[in-house]
Amino acid sequence: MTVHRRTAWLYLLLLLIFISLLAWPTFVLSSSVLSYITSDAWQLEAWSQVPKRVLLQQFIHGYQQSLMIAGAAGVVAVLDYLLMSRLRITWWFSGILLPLAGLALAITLLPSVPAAIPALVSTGLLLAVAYRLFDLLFGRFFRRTR
Amino acid sequence: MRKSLMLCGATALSLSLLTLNSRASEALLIGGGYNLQGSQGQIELNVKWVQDILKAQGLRVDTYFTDGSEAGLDVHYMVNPGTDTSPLAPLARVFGDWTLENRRYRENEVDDVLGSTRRGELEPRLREIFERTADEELLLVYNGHGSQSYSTPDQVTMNLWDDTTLTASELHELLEPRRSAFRFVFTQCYSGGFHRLAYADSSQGSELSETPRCGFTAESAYRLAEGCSASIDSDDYRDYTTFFFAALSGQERGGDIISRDPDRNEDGMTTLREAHLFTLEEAYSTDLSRSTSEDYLDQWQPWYLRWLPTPAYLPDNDYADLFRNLAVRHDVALNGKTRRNLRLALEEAEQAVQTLANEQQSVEQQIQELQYRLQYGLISQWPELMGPYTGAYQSMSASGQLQEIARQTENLPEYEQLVQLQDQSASLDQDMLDRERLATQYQKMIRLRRLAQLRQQLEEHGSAQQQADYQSLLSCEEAPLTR
Repeated sequence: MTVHRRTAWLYLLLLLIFISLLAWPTFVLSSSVLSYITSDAWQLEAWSQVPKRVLLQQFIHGYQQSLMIAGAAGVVAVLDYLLMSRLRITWWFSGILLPLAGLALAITLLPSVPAAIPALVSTGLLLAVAYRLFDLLFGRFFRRTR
Repeated sequence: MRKSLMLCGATALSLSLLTLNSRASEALLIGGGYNLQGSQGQIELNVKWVQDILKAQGLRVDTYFTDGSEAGLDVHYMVNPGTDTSPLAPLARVFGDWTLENRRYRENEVDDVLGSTRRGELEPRLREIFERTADEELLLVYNGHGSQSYSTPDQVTMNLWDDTTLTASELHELLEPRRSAFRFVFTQCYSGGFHRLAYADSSQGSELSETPRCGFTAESAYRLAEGCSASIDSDDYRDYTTFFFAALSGQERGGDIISRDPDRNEDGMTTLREAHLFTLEEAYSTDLSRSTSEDYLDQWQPWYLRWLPTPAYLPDNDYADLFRNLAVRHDVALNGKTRRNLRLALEEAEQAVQTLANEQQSVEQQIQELQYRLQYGLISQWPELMGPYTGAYQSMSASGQLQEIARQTENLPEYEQLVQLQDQSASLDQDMLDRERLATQYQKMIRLRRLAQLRQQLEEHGSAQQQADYQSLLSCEEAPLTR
């Protein structure tokens, strides 16, 4: 029983770290793809006009600054797992809290930025996919039955 | 009542004295290349023209150019190969550098040159001028070459005479004693790094310096300027100076009146910023020019806004106006598909440049093969041609045999082919430059859209300090040449 509980905690911790680490790169990826689709991606100009080291610095700066929010996204993933993963029926919807959290974040923190909603919701969706994949690949090592 | 009138009078007098003290009365003009081969006649022409404009505005102009007034060649220029053909031109085509064949050298003809631009000589002069004019506004115009920085943007350089350099960070240090506004116009490659002069710490580029400093540069810290590209030797040299000072003087370099009035707010005087905006709109060159306030906008964005897509609508500001004007000029329809159409047009222009570059590479290869074949044939017949600095060669030259060989070379069928290929190569160079200029116009439109959005974002999301900083840069740029 104790061993089972310990592995469950370990799984939650790994899920939290995984989603937290992935949050900023996913946000950058989804925002860049959306910018590309709308043909207004400054990243395209920057790629040819600015040294890659400058882009990398901006990316790393964003990574550092977003750690708190990324950590919160990790917590949302853990909560989602705890709420949804116990029953087979709810498991099908697990991960849904991440795009919802993205929507809430966009509405509360960046209400005057129209692009924030699609960017943060799509980030949440991508993180949900990553979370589901993580669960499918590694979840079985940490639990005996669902 | 009398006392208050006296107080008013005293205040007015002190205010007018303050204005008188701080107004620009002096300009610093630094120009020329870093050595003879890097000192194009077009730079000299620009320096002379700018000097005339500044003097006409009543400014005292301190000019420093190449080796100053020292005896010795310091400028090169091109002669027209069509009208100024030398009898040995066929041999130059086959053996030598066709570009060098048309190059001539002379001493500079710039008036009132105070000294050379050698770092060791220029630096103490700059120090003295910056200290002497510490309480006066000062304009620095640099017309020459620059080098890139592989670390922070403030390590870009002005390339001075005798292959010496001065970095933006070193110039920043020299500016320390100044207490009044300092403005600059830099037209060299990678000149954007000099916007760091406006900051308290030039390597960080975050907090503005206490005294207002702002400027205008032909390019960013990461790109070559048009003046450094192939067009340096061509007659239609279109660097930043060409348009910027045309706007300030009302006349183009050739003397023609400019096509439209750059005075955007119609207050009767053209400010430096208005001249810059005129340049952004009018310059058909490969430059993506920028001012310090634009550089600030580029850097300003907080991390959470930087990566987000920008909205489709354009706010109402100077940059949006410029974008619309340029779009109309280049037949880009202003509708829901504008952004997509712009990208497609840019892609098409860039592909055309690439196609021409490939074609050029193939032509260059053919030229080289043909030159080797011709050289082999000529050397087989006249082995002395192998050593152009030998006594045997000198004898050939003195006897007039070289000219005879040149005449005979002209009659070879392969030579005719070589001339055609070399002409084709020159024409491809020009076509490529034209296409690059067109591609830059689309890049410029994309950049103007972005600046319009950034300015709007700063108004909506910037802190009070950031907005104040931006406004102080704008007001620094909004100065005329003289008040």
